[in-house]
Parts: sequence; structure tokens; C-alpha cells
Amino acid sequence: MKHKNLTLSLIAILSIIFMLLNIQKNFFYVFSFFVIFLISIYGFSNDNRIWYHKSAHIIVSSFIGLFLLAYEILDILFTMLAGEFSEINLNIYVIIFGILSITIFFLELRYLRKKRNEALNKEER
Amino acid sequence: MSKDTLKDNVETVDKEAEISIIGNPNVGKTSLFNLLTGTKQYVANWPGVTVEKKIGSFKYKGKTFKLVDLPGVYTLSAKSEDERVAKDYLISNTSEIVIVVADALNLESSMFLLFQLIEIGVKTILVINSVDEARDKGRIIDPSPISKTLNIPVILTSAKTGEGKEELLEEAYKLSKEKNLTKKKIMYPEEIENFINFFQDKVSKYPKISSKYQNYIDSSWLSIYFLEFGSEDLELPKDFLTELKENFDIEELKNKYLNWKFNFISYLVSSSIIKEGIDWSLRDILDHVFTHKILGILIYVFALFAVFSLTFSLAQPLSDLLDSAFTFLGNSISEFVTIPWLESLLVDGVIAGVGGVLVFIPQIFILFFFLGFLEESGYLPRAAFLVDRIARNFGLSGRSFMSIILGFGCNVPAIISTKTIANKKERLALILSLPFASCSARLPVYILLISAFFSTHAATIMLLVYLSSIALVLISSKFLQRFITQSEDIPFIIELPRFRMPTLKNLSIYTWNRGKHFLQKAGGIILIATVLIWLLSFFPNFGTDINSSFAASIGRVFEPLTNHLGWDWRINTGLIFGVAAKEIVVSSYATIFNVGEGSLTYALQNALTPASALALIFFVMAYIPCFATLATIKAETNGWRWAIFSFIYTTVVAYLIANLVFFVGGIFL
Repeated sequence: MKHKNLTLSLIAILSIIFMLLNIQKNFFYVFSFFVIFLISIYGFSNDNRIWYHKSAHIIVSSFIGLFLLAYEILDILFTMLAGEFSEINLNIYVIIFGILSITIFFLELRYLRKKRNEALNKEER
Repeated sequence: MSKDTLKDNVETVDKEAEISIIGNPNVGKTSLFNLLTGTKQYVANWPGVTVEKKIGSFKYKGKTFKLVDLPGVYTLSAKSEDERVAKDYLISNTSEIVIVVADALNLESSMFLLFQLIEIGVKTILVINSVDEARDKGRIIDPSPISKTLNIPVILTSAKTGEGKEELLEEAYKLSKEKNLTKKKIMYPEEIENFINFFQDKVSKYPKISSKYQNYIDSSWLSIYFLEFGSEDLELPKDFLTELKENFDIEELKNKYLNWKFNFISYLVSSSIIKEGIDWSLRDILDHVFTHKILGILIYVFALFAVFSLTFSLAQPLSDLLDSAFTFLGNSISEFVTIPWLESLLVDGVIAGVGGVLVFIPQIFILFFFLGFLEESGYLPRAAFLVDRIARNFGLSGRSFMSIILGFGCNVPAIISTKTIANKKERLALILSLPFASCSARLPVYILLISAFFSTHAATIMLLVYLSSIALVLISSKFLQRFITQSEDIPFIIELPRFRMPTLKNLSIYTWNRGKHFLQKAGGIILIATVLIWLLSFFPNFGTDINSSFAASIGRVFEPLTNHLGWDWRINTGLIFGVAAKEIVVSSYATIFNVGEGSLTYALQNALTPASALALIFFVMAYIPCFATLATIKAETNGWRWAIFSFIYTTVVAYLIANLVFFVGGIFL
């Protein structure tokens, strides 16, 4: 994705909001969103030595968001497996953030692959 | 065919050839070993998995080959225990062929070791492993320049896909048939050649050296080894050394030799790489954040937190199912067995005790599965790299951190893995501190108490326990190093392995290898201990009053020390029996509380306060290592002295921590 700062801002804002919204619910999610928030914040800094600095922060923060979505789904599935349907408590914030993370993750990966192919083509030429 | 010829042929076919596998750490030696022998040795995506040699065998074209997997080394100038194992084996043993495994993506670092082996003059095969991964990155390697220059077979393999296996077997077979090795003469610069000739000429006049290194006197190996690594390991006579120093400037020659070798290897490698491939990948992108000095640590804590959260969330329903199965089994036995004492033994003793531990199988296996994922993916060495800076403040290195992580599984392999630590002071302090690494045997106790008292924050408490466990190992090492005198500072060098998506097969082997000990113990020591505890709680009054049983008498001895913590004789008795194996603490409680496993949680809630339960969790985390760990400490420190010290030291530390946690917990809980 071209608009790195915008993407990082979106991740940072949403993660801090979802962190606060989860305080009463689940400390694991609170900690995870806090980590995502910090990763995105560090992404704003400039690292001239590494051209993919911002991309790396976007990829890792969205990867954790993706993991949280997988965790939430597994949790629901195993609660269903135990037959405790009344215990199922869908965390909508994690689902929203997870879906957004998947989108960002793959868009950013596509962008990086495009860059890689360009570099390879240059090398071959 | 004459009888003698036939006999000769049979002997030729049946004679076993020995092959050693050697290479840098984490290049896939054990994977290759598994591929050739068909065994299932655990292969981890981090250096230092093999600290002692492993032996297997395979047959090819009717010939039996003995295969020895040696620990990963960078050179044969061994300083740490694992490197010494490899060096001693190659120098003193009779390996007919040596397979040097190199990583296709990091070919250069393996060439120094290869060079040393060629200098020794053993039959060598170079295996360039992970060619599939190199190909994915666009790197293309041509083995012929190395093969022609060094006069050795060079095979491209992938231990993961089996590529190159047949070719390797064929080359090993051919080499084993060759009677006389035509050693490639390496053309060193003139000054080096002069030195080698002088050295060889002089050394033959010293019978003591000649007999010790008789296999290598006719080669230039000994002189080159001396030049590169000095005389420390060689035990050369003083007058011999003086003679050398009088004729040569050893330091200058050493620099010349190293420069020449470096240039030669660089040239050889660059002429073999047809295409370099791309210089960045997803690995670089992940590493950029994962190895960040602040974010990296937070991500590591997040990874542990995620593992514990997954363990609790996924395992609980399965654990409940097992619990119901054991309750059903207990009820069924109660209906069929009419003899009261036998019913009590089976239901209150065996099923409540052993079943009380077995219900935690899902947690154990799920925890190992996800910890295995972290190891297999190559994440853990990054954590070790990050922690190195912190660990240095405690007199340890990132290498020690690997042992701590191993200790989360079992303290025995963790203590054995300290062989990779060259600094003796660091190693001894770590051996004595590793029992504080929270092994999986303690897991059932944590889960039982956490489920009973802190179910809403289960993963958080578990994370707190594990982080405290790491902190305790670090603090203890720092403390103990104050009293240990030997010291030498050796920098921590680690090659970060590539990130890999772990294969289900390798994860299953990992999970099973770690988890099976739990099952074995359940049918062995836990069962025996459970029956013993039942006997002690049933007699002398035949189960009428457990408060006046032998078990109660044993536990009451320690009540003056534990009453203020809220632990009565029942808690103490469980802890005493837990010395044999920590899982026994849970089986003891299931038997002593005599409530059936379903309501043990409720019984514990009545017996303990949250603060005393938390103190108990931390006491179990730190107190006396199990018998197997004590025996390993004895073996690794060559005597009972440090094992006895560990027994006393851990008990005192655990008691102090329990008091501290009870005091602090009392304020907040």
C-alpha cells in the first residue's frame, strides 16, 4: 500500500480504542492491542537504512491482528465443542480488527511482492 | 568362485562403514540423519539441538553404514562441551567418511569447517542442504567448482523433500569402497608451506607427539591447527614450541594463513553461486520488528501470553470431557466392587489420584504443541538474541536462555543442554538455577489451583508464573556466580535461523516426545505414589478418620512452618510426595481430600484462601527438583555435592518466595 502513514494511523487508532473497550473483558486482548498499538507507533519513525521499515511494522501489527481473529474463532469452536453454547461470547472488536488486519496484511504483501518483482526484473536486465 | 574369494566378498559386503555427520549448528544435520536412517530424532529450528552424538544405521546395496550425528560446530577448535564432543570424536575415532552439511543460503560459514576436515585428510563429502529454500529465493548453486578444486564429492540436497538422497548414498557407497584416499594437496602460500615442512620435520623427532597424533603426522593438519588455534589443546613440549618461535613469527604467519584462507573460501563460494537471488524476504521484514530491542521483548511476552491463553481456552472443554469419563469410571467401579477397602483403593486412590492428573493431558499436549510451533518456526533464537542483553546483566548469555526455554518442558534436557555453554562459571550457576524453570510436570498443579481460584484471569496468572520463573533463574544465577570463582567471558554468537512454517509431522514428534513422559509417569511413578498415599491415608484406622492417618502425621510435622501460609497437613503431604515428581502433588490432593476429582476444586477452595493458593503455586514453581533432575545435576557436576546443595537451596528459596507472595497477595487478594 502506498499510504503507509495513513495505514499505520488506522491501526494505531483502532488498536488503542479496542484496547480500552476490552479492559473489562479480557486482559489478553488488552495486552495484544497494546502491543499492536506500539508496533504501529514505532512504524511512524523513519529508518533510512531499511526501505521496508514502515511495511514491516504494518505487516507485523496486522499479523498479530490476524492471529487474534484466529484465536477468537478457535475459542468459540472449542466452547461449542464442549456444548457450552450459553458461554459463547463473541468479541466483535476482535472480529472487526481481524478482518481489517487480513485486508491490510495481504494488500501490503502484494505491494512488497510487486516491489520484489520489479527488483528481480531490474537484476535480470 | 573359490571358497576364499567368496569369503572375501562376503566380508566386504558385510563390513560396516562408519559415517559422521558434522556441520554448523542448525544446517539440517539431524534432518539428514533422520532422512538416511529413517529415525525420528527431534529436529528443531534453532541451534544446539544435538549436544551429544546420536548413532543410527542404514543399509545401501547390501552394505551396512553406521551413522553418527555430531553436535553443530563452527570449527574444530572446540571450547564448549558440545564442540569438544565433535572434535574428540573426529580426531580419536575411526569414522571412514565424514559428511559436512552446509546451508545453501549460508555456504561460506560451513567452508571453514570443511577445510579443516580436508586438512585432516579424511574422506569427506560436502552436502549443500536446503537447496529447495535457496531455489525459492532465486539462488542457484553449481557444486562443480568446489568439487573439482577440493577433490571431494559435493551433493545438493533437501532433507525436507528428500532431494539428493540417492546421490548421497551412492557417493558414500563409492567412497567406502575406495581403499586409498587421494588427498588433494592444498597449495598454501610459500611461507606457510615452509612452516608446515619445518613443523613436520621437527615433530617427528618428538616421539610423545608422534604417538599421540600418529594418524595426522603425515598430513599437514597438526601444523595448520597449531597455526590457527595455538598450542592450548595440543599439549606440545616447551622446547618444541621454543624452537618454532625462534624460527618463525607465529602471529604474523597466523594472520597470513587466515587471510589466505578467507580469500580462498570467498573465491570458491562465489564461483559456485551462479545466481545470488533476492536480498530481502518476509524473514527480513519480520526480523526487523521481532528483533527490535523494545518491541521484540513485548512480542515475546505476547507470544507466551498467546500460548497460555490458547492452552486454557482450547484444553478446558477436552479436560472436562476426560473429567466426566473418570467420574463415570469411578461410579461404575463403585457399583461392581463390593469390598470396601478395594473400592476405596480403586476409586479414591487410583482413579481419583491418577485420573486427577490425567485430566490435564489436553493442557500438556496443547501447551507443547504451541511451544513447539514457536521453536519450529525459528522464533525462539530471536527471543534468545533479544534476551541476551538482559541476561548479560545476570552473568548469563542468550545461549542460557535457550536452556531456560528447554526447561519449560523438562529440567533434565535443559541441564544437559548447558554443555553448549563454554564459560564454566556461567554453566554451573545455570545448572543450579535451572530447577526454577517451570517444567511441565508442575503444570497440573498450576492449572488445578488457577482454575480453582483465578479462573477469570487464568492465562494472566500463568504468564506471571512463567515470567517469574525466568526472572528467578536469572536472579539465582547472578547470586550463585558471586560464589563461583572460575571466569572467562565468551561472547554469545547465534545465527538466526530462517523463519519456517513448521510441518505438522515435526510438530507432532515434538509434542509427542515431550508429552509422552507425562503419560509414562502416570502409569509408573504417579500410580505407585498414589497407592502409597492411599495406604498412608487409609491406615492405621482403615479409612475411618483420615485426620489421624499416617499421611496426616507426616504432613503435621511441617505445619509449624506452613500454618501461617494457610497450608494444613493435607497441603504439606502432597508437597512432600511431589518431590518424586511434581504431578504427584495433584494426585495426592485428589486422594487425600477424598472427594472425587469432580469436586477437588471446591475442596481446595474451602481449604485455602486465594493468597495461600498463590503462595502454593509459587512454592511449587521453585521447590526441590524431582529425582531425575537431581540425578542429572549429579551427573553434570560430577558428584553429589551440588545435587545436595540444589535440594536445600531450592527449598529455602521456594519457602522465602511463598512467604513473599503470601504477604503481597494478602494485600491485593
